[in-house]
Amino acid sequence: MTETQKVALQKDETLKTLYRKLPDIKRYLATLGCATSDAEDIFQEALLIFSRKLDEPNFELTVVPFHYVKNTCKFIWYNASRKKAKMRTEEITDTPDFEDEQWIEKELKLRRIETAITQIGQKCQQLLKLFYGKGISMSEIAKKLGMRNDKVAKAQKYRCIHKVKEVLESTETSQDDYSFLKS
Amino acid sequence: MNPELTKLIEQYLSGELTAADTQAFENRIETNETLRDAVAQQQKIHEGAKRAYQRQQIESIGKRYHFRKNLLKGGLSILIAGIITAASLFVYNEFGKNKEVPILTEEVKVKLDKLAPIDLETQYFLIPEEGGVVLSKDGVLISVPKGAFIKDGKPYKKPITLQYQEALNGTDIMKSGLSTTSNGRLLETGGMLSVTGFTADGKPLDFNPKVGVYVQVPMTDAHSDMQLYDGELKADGSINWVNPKELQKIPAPVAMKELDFYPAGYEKYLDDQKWKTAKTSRDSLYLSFEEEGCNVVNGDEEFIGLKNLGLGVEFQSNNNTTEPIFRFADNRSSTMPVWTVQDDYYGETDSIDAGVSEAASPVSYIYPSNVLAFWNKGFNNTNLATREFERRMRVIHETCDNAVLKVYTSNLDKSLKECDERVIEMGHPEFQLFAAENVGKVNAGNPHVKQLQRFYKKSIKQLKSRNSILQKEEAERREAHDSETRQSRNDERRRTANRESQAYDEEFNYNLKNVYKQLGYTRGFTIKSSSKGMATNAARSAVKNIDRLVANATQGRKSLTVKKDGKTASITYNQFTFEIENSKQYIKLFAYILPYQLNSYQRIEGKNGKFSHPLNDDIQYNIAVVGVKKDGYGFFQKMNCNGEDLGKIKLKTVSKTKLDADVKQLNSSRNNSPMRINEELSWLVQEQKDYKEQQLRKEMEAFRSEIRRIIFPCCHSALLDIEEDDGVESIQKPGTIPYGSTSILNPRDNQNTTNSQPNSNQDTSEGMK
Repeated sequence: MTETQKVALQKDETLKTLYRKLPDIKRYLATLGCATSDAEDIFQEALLIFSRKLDEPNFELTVVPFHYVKNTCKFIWYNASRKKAKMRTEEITDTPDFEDEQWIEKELKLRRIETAITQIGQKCQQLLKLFYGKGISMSEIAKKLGMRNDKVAKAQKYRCIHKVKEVLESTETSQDDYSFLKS
Repeated sequence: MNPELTKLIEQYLSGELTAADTQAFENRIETNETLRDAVAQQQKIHEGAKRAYQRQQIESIGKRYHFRKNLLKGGLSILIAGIITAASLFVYNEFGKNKEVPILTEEVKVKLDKLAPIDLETQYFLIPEEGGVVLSKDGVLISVPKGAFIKDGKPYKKPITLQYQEALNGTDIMKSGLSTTSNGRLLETGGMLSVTGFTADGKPLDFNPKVGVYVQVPMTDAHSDMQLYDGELKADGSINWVNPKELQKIPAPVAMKELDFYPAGYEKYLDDQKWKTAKTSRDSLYLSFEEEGCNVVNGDEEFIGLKNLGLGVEFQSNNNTTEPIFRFADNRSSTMPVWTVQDDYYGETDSIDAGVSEAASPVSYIYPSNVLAFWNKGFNNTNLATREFERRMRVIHETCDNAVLKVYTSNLDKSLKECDERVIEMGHPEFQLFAAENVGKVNAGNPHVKQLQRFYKKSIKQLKSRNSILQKEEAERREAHDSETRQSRNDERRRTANRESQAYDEEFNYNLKNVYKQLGYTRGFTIKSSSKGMATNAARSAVKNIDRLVANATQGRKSLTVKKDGKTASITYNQFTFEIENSKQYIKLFAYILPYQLNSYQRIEGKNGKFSHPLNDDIQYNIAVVGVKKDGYGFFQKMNCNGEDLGKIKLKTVSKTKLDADVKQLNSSRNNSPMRINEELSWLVQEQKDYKEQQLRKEMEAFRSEIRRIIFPCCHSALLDIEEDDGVESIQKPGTIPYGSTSILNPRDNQNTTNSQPNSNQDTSEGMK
């Protein structure tokens, strides 16, 4: 197993372990007034943020992962509820201090792009995810998605990216970073 | 928006442009803000795509989490280590791991579909070479470890295409035309499935018998006698089911907090006693038997580990001290990262030291620390957090063999069946029933298990040291109390002896003087005069005679009439009696008699609130009655009493200050020997305390002795003989006190104390002669 694989495996284990804390997080978020139905979405978002943070080259964890995730959940929830409150013109307590605030805000902005990606065709989504997420080669993607060769896949990629851009253009103003709040 | 621009940017970003073009493009970016933004946006899209992929991974972890949870809710599940032989739902399964996953091409798929053994929908799973876990449409979990397949006799180390078919319900079974006959006999089926491994390009693989593929089928009701059959494909396409094997049950993990690992009856007994229900308290109580074990400690050495054991009686000391240790489990998440395994863990062996030397105790028992150390959520999702182990634990308690417990706690990575078998080998045939259940293991990751072993050992140590600190504290507290009580009693005995001898002395002299006066003698050549300075023999003998009479009368407090030389002298004692109302409310009642003419004072004790004491008619008395209650004092005083019956008297409830003042007032009429009430009072206070303490110890020991019988069943039978003629039995009898000291301030026991009184009188008077 290569070093990268080991790291990936360990990360996967970490995430799995963290996922078992879901009930704790649900309880915790409930104390902050978050509906149970939203809690898991927030939790997943926080896990995602944490997982991406782990990939950062200069990242050093100063707290245990669970606390990082928990704080992130809190941050997301406060932000989300503040946004909601703004719409309702209600007052809500300020967002708590969180050392990684900028990172999270940057992350939450990416949600908009992600949402746009979900609005393009399945195959396109698959292609972009495999190429940029999993990082496999174009020729493999072509095989996997049943395309003739890597050239076809590449051309397809340009089209997919362009579609995302179009979606983004059309939704420029209407998107909400916190659309995962159902209630 | 121009698609060509998008393409150009893409090409630039992925480094597909020539050096010259790149340079030109970068120059444009420099100057063109719109272009710059477009590039930035496209980069963000890449990041967004990556993020979407990562989200997919997280979601798949979430799905597995919920699946597992739901599977457990469904109850029984079956683990099949095995195989039926060798399409068209394309299930692309991610394992959340960045590795090479094979690609299934349409071409291969079509080819493989033709090979499918059953006429049913095929599912394909692409397993990377490291192995993986996938979930079928109907929720069957298939775990393919690394090296699960072989090709040409060697483990196949490349990605695998797994072909899978399932017929778990009646419809599917019928659709497929599957039969359920075994050599002509009809079988009841719990579902059929087929698993086949192929190389990425569709060449069949064989199962590696050393590794195998694990299949877990969710079942709502599985019969315990269901077995796993191999399917034998026949030429006509039907399947004969042969070679049945036992299925292994996977124990369903249950949250630790829902399980009960206490010895049978422990909780019930505590519930019956309406004892504290908090688990921390019950853990503390259980742990307090750690070192004591079977050894019934008695006498003065005996002590009990925890202060908060009393049945509703509160100790004044802090109860909090017992709690924190049991919180370690809750804090664990923040103090102990379970996801990283440090290298030094591997250096340690897996076996767990019980800590207490097992040879030391003649009857072994299950150490409470060894139970409590795993009974926390750190051990959730292990073999120990299962109903199956809960049932075993009951029996483990009955074996009284800590080594049995160790088999399970130190083999978290083995199946329960393996542990059961080892225990049978150790000479516990009762585990055969468990072994027959063929229960597997909860699959915890290996690093996690190692970590837990370490955690377990650490917890045991912590629990032990915490317990010994508590034990020591309690021992010290008891010792302090006992020595204070001893001191107080010694002082009181000395005071009583002094007081009584003084009282006797003074009253005797008073009576003698009185008799002499009546007889016409003068007092002046009295007692010290046994041989020297006597005038005549006759006078001496007469004096002696009268002395003795007076002495007897004083001592016996009886009236006396002496006739001598025609004169008559008499000393009259009349009974002085009174009864205290509501005497039961007092732990202790004393009447102090302060003779007006004498300097001394006497303390008399009543029985059931009734006091009776002969008073000398020639002396005027003041009396003071002090009653000690649990929470205060009662006081009564009367001046100028003689032998008479006061009838019922009622004590006035007073504070200690008021009592002091009243007694001071009473003392003011006396010259040089005030009643030293403070000393008396502090003694009474100590006795009051000791009474409570002894009651408590008695109750505790009875309580603990009962619990000991419950939690250490072997101790119980082994110690029965000893208990017959040992102190333990007497503890249970009401009214007797298992402690050496004489006066326990028990109102029901006043008999004892009053009986001892005349004896000490006797001693004193003997000394006087």
